[in-house]
Amino acid sequence: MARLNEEAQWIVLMGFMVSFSLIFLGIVINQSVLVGQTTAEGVLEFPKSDIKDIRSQVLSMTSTSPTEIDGDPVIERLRNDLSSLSLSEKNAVTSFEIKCWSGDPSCAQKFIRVHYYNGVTNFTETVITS
Amino acid sequence: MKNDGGQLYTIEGVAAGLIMLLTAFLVVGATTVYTPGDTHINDMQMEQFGNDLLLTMDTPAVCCAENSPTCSGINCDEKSNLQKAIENTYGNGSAIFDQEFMRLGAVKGNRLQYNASVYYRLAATSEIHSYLLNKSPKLFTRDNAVKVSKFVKVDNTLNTMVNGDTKKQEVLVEVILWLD
Repeated sequence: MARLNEEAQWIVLMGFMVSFSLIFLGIVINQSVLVGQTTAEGVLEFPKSDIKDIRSQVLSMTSTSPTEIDGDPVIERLRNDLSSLSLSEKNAVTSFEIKCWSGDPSCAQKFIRVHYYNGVTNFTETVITS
Repeated sequence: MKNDGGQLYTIEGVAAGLIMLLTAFLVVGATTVYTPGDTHINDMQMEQFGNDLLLTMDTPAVCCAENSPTCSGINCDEKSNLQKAIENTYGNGSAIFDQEFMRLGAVKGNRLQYNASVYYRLAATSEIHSYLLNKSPKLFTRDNAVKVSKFVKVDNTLNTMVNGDTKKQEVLVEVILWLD
């Protein structure tokens, strides 16, 4: 076996460094793809628009009926529609209550509670109208 | 004294190994396998687009405070396009829906396709029924389709809706949309 030529060892060393840094950069690129996917999954999974929708429907309900509180036939009709449709079409439990805020005999100020639960996301909000 | 010959061969071997690994890594990384489960990013954008579209359609054009002296717009009891489409007062509900949906969806070029249904509840039996509101002429899809929905308050006391109880009620508009 010929005597080994020991020159230019540092070039080989540089080669090592370049390979290692390339592999490292490759790993970083792979991670970025994963991050984009999980972010999109997170946005899809969270029922943002469902909650906004339910919320806007309930909060605007106080202007559909003259008495505008629980027990009013129009409110009850809307309540049943809302909960049946979201249960059958969106697999979500939806409920709400609208009451007169105590100490307000004219019932101008109302207490509204909205609830939404789809098995993963649980949302409850209480609003007192001004 | 240890035999320190062959160091360079060893280094060369390791370097060759690394280069091969790197090549394999690049080859695997360059080809992405695009399975149906990986379409989340497009789906998310499409879903957001559809929800925004329905929300815009369910907003009345101009809404003024009652007896506002400065406002020359329409009063607050003006209905949204989505309500008009479902209430179908003049029998042109599906035309209104298609016109508005395609007008707002024009930002996607002419590629937007949809299939919209209305879900309603019959109070007597508490059953959910549905009917087709409108659909695109081309009912095939190349891209993934997404489903968006919106609750709409409608007043069917005049019994102009295609189906449903003659009362004020909540209905659910469900739109499946995709890019052709």
